[in-house]
Order: sequence, then structure tokens, then C-alpha cells
Amino acid sequence: MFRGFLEGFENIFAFSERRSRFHGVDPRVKMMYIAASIVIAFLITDPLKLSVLILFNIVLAVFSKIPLDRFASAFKSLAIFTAIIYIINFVLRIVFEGPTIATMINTALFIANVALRMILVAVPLMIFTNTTTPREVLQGLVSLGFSYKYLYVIVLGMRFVPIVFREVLNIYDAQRSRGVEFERSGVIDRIKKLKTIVIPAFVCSMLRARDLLEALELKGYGYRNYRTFYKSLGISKLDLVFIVSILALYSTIAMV
Amino acid sequence: MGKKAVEVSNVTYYYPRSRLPALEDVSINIDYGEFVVIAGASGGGKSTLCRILSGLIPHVYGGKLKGKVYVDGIDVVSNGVKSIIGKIGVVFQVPENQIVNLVVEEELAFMLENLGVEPNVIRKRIEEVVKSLSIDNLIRRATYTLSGGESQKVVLASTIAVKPKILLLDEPLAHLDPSSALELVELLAKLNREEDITIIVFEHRLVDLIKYASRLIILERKVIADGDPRKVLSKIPTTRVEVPAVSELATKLKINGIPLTVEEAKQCFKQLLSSCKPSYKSTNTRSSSHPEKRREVIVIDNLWHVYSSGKEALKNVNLRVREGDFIAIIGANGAGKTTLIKHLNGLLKPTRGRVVVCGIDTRKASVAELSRHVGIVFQNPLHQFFAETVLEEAAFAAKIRGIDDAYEKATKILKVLGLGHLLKRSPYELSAGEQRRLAIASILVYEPPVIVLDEPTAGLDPGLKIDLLGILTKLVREGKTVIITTHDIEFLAKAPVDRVVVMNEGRVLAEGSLREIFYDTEVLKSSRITPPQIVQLIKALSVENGVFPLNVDELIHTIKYSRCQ
Repeated sequence: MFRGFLEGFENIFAFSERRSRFHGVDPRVKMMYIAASIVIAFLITDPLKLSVLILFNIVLAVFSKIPLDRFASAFKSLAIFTAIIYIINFVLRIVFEGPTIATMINTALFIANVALRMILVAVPLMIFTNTTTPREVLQGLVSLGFSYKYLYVIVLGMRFVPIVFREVLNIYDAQRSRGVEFERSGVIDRIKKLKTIVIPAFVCSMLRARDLLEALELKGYGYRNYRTFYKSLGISKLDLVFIVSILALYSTIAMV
Repeated sequence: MGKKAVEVSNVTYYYPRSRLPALEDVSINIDYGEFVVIAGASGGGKSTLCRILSGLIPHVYGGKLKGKVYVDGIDVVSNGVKSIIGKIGVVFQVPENQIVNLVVEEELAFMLENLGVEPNVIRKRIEEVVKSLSIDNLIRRATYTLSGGESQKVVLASTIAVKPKILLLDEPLAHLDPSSALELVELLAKLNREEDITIIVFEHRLVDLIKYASRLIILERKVIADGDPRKVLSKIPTTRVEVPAVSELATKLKINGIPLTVEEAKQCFKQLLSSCKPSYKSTNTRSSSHPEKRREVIVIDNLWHVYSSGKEALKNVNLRVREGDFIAIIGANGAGKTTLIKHLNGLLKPTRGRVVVCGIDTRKASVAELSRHVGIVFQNPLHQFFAETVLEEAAFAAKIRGIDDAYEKATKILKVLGLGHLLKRSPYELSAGEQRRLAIASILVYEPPVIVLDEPTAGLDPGLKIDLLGILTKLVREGKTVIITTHDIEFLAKAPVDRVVVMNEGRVLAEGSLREIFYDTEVLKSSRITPPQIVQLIKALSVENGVFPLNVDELIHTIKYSRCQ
């Protein structure tokens, strides 16, 4: 379960190398699209409206050529996450309201609503991360006046998160191969056993950080206060049509 | 006298808090346009010298440095990394840790952008470098999907996009399979020849590299030898650097004019080997005692494994392993070796078919239960170390299984593996070879009958490989079943394995003794494996009729006992 959960999250955030129309959209436009989706997910509570918006975004995701298996594993992870929230909510409500069928149903309805909102944010986020390299985001932000030296940390994070995930999976496998049982033990015991993963993961990350630091020094990172970008940014007419249509659709549905 | 590419004069260097110098009175001069290989055993100061030349030592690392270092005429000790950026390019051992961006094209532009080069110039340089290294198929790829060999090519491309005069490479082949290593070496030779870049490679894997080198330097804290590769190779013992087998053969037979390649060796040995009478008997293969009487410990029937991405990693694999077998699984990267061994202790479950280990169907048992029977030592020992001391680390697997005398057992095994004097040390303070042995000890401690090692020779120098071979041979003699996956063919040619399993694209392509497999040109070709040099030599001279040596010692044995003139 742990393995599948990690893999799912890794998939949500990984850049996909398939080329689609979406890959070329200006990163600043895509950021507006994410922002709009988050706002609308907060504003709308009607499950029908939420479902329509999710469906619309899924169609966009198909056009942006996100591999289907990524969807599957991302949704699996989201389902596990939702189940955990449901259980916590349910226990809390039982404590405060008593164990009735109504409590169960109310909790389920509430959580279903939360899940729909999460999906409404997750799908655009997937489209964004699958079609935009973190460097394009950075370039977008630098064009708005931010300094590249501090922003590159985000790019490095995005680049190394999948690598560290993979490494944690390898460490997990190596420890299980020695006989460490993570699944069949109590909570305290499990926390104790976690050190067999956390310590090697920490050490490997430190070594990686040292290598990375050397690589950055030698690649002239921070050599000058300004840097050039080999590709220039520009919002095309098509980009404008896209964001205006999104905003129009979102506000229409919100007002209906 | 003109400026030199590199001038190192009387350099002695101590790392912070170290009393032993990492380099002692080292002096090296390198001219522009040279292709220099600096070799030496692990811990001999190769990486240290590379970091001094690139300006990282002492500026980033600290420590005490005496002597003078000029690179392209610049005093790097006084001026640091920034003074030589753009003039030298540096490629380190682990390619994935040197790639900063998510798309190859962005990575190629990165350094030029940092240096403030105009966008149109950057685009032109990218075009040039893509053409020169023939990597147009990689340009749009996401960097995390690249294989080791592809990543190293991208690192090299991003480095030469800046048009450096000098290229430093620190063990660039350590993490590559043989075919990727050969490709990278050929690229370096091309850059040296066509673009006149001075190449300095710090590496102990000389087999592919040496034929292009204009000079070989052996570094072991001091400069032990420096000069023409043939002369240097005739002087040094083969435990220090990985010498091509044909060169080793010539040295041992005291032949003048050491060959560096199989092609050169053909001329050298043609007369000698053609005169051999085929009365040779193998010394390498173990005579297995009545294989049919030994019980089957691993049974794999029609095994298929499909990853969640849809990739078919194993296709209809069938395999039988008997108690006491020593088996090697070989194949290029991506052939399915690691996927197969992960099925042996249930880390992966069959998509179709079955795997039975010591009578237990892996689909019905947990990894913990199966690990009692099969101990797997993975490639990177650092993935398992977490304890404070070597003894704790080695005893851990026995302790969690409730074995009473875990510490006594661990101490005994550590002594056998030559780590007895390091019991109280931290696992992280050990050298690469010691860490590998500790990883093996931590599995042996609970005495699983089957021991599996994934790429056990990766990153080890020849001396450490000989130690490893000794350990594995001893285990097999004690009755353990040992399975290794490897693409280190020269290592395998010296190992007393019973059976080789050749894998290609998820299938078992062939199975047989070392001799059967290594002399089967068709099988090796279709699985992208280069045979050992001695086999190549015998085949090239067409003298294999009745004589099938696998390594240098066997061939010398043949020559001695076959009345060759």
C-alpha cells in the first residue's frame, strides 16, 4: 500500500514528455488557470456543478496527452487519502455526536463533497505539472521581477523529488529484503522501524546534495546576478482564447 | 616555454581533520591536446586531484593544500572555481546528480544561460553540440527518464556546449554498462581528435579507454608511474587498475610491445597460439556433484511480470536452481535481471506463472517469510545502513529474527570478511569495498540458504573484485546457493560459476556453462554482450578447436600444457 501511495503521488507531479498543444501554452497563463480552478473549488458546493467542472477538466487533460496510467495511479492515491480523511472525520463525529446512521451518512456526504473539490484542483494541477517544466514556471516568475537565484530551488525540488521517491522505494525494498516487516506491526513498532528508511534516505540525500552543489558551482550557477533564457516567453492569441474561455466558463457555472 | 593545459607542482593535500595526506608531493604537467588517463586503486586520490583541478578543493572542501596548481595558466588554488568556469568542463561519477533541469534541451542551455550568453548564441551552440554528439533523439526527453548512459552523454553535452579547452572526467564509466561505457569513450576520443579538447579521465576501468590514451598516469597518493600506456602497463600489477586482459596476458608472458586491444593482440599471439595442440582441460568449471540429487531451491515456471506502466519486464521465464548452485544472470541494462531477482523474495509478485522458493509459493508468503530463505544484497549498500556501528548493522537482521547469539554470529562473519577491526566504526566511515562486504555480512548473519547479489562488482576496483570473488567462492564451497546478476564479463570469466543465464528484453535467451555461452557468438550478439577479451582473441585467431580458455590464467595454462612453441 505504502509503495502504491508513493508511486501515485510521484505520478501526479511528474512532467510528461509527450508533446501536446498544452505544452506550448505560456506558463503564466497556465498559472492563472490553476489559480482560477482553486478559487472555483472553494466557491462552489453543489456536487452537480462540481462534477460538470471536473468532467470539463478531464476532457482538457485528455487533450494535454497525460498518460492514462498516471491518472489511474493518481486517483488511487487520492482515494487512499480521502479514505483516511473520512475515517478521521467519522471518529471525531462519533465522539461528538454519537454513533448513528445519520452521522455515517452525513460524514460520507461531506467527505464526498471534499473529494470532488480536491479532484477539481488535482486535475488542473496534473495538467499543469505534466505539461510545464518547473523552469518554465521560473522563467514566468523571473519575467514578473523575481530573482532566479532563489527560485531555482523550486526547479531543483521538482527535479529531485521523483529521484528521492525512487530512492525511498529502493531503500524500502532493501530493508524488507532483510526481514523488516512494516505491514504487520503496531503503530509504535512501525514508527521505530521507520528509522530503517529515514536514516538511509537522509544520508543518500545528503550525498546527493553534495554532488549537486558541486555540479551547480561548476555550471556557473550564481556566477552573475542576471542570466539569459534561451527561449523567450510570449502570450499568444490562442493562450488568450484559452484563459478567457476558462474564466468565462467558471464564472458562468458559479453564477447559474 | 608555452602555457600548459595543466601544471601541478609538488601538491600535498590534507582533508579537514585528516592526519594522512590524500595526495603527497604530486607533480603532473599536461599539454594541450593530450588524452590522459589517470588511474589507480580506490582511495588513491583520483577524485581529490580532479576536485583540485576544478577549483573545488580547497575552496569548497577546505583542508590544507601545499604546492601550485595552474589550469589553462590560471592559479586555481588562489582563484577558485569561478576563475576557470567556461575554460574547463567537469563530468563526475553519478550522472543523475549533475543534471539540474527536467528537459534535456534546458539542461544543455543551463550553463550558458548562467554565464549570460545571448539566447541566439545558446540556441546555435545547442544545435552544434546535439549534432556533434548525435543526441538529437534525446533533446526533448524528460531527464528523469534517461538511462545511465544517456544521462552521462547529456552531462557531457552540457559541458562541451560551453566550448571548454580542457575536459576533466572523474570515473565517468563507473555507473555505465559496457556498451554505454564504450560509446562514451568513443565520444571522448572524437572530441579530442576533432575539436582538439584536452581530455583528462580519472578512471580505473581501462579496457575501452586505454587505446585512445596518449599517456597513462598511475596515482596512489603519489605518482607511481607516468608515460606511454604500453610502458606503464608493463610495470604495474593488475590488482591496481583494470588492465585489458590481452595486455595482462602479454605482461605475464613477458612479451615485448604490449597490445592494448584484441586487434593488436592478434598479431602478437598469432604464431604462439596457432601452434598449440588441443590437450587442454578446463580449470574453471566446478564439477558439480550429482546435480540431480541436490534438491531444487528455486523453481520458476512461465513467469511474466507486467509493471503498472504496462511494461512487460519478464516474459515467460523458466528457471530451476538447485541447492549449492553458483549461477550468474547476465544481460544488458533493462534486460530484466533485477526484476527477476526481486521475485525471489516476493518483493515483486508474478503477474502470471509462479515462483516457488524452498517449497513456498511466493504469491502466498510475505517478503519477511521468504527473506529467511533468500537473502538479497542490492547494488547500493547505502540503501540499507542505518545503525551506529558496523557490528550493530551486521547483527540487525539476526536480531529481528530473534536469533540469540546475533552479536557473536555477526562478529564471526565480520572477521571472516576482513572487517573484524572495524566493529565499532560507523558504516558510513568505511571505504566502498568495505561497505560492500558489510552489506554481504548483514545478510549472511541469519544464514539464508540462497544468497543473491545484484551487480556486486559495480564501482569496485580490481583488487576489491578479487576479494569479492574469494568470498563468493567460499560461500559456494560451504554449500550455499549463490546467484549474481552482472554485466561485468571479465569478472565473470574468472568466477567458478556453474551456469549462466542470458537475459534479453525480459526473456531467457540461453542457459549454459560459461564456456558454452561465452563461445556462442550468436547468443552474445543478440543480447548485446561483448565476450571476454581472451575469448575474442581465440575466436579472432580461429584457434578454438578444442581450446576454450576464458581468462588470462586459463590461456597461460593452455600454453604451458599444450606444448605451444
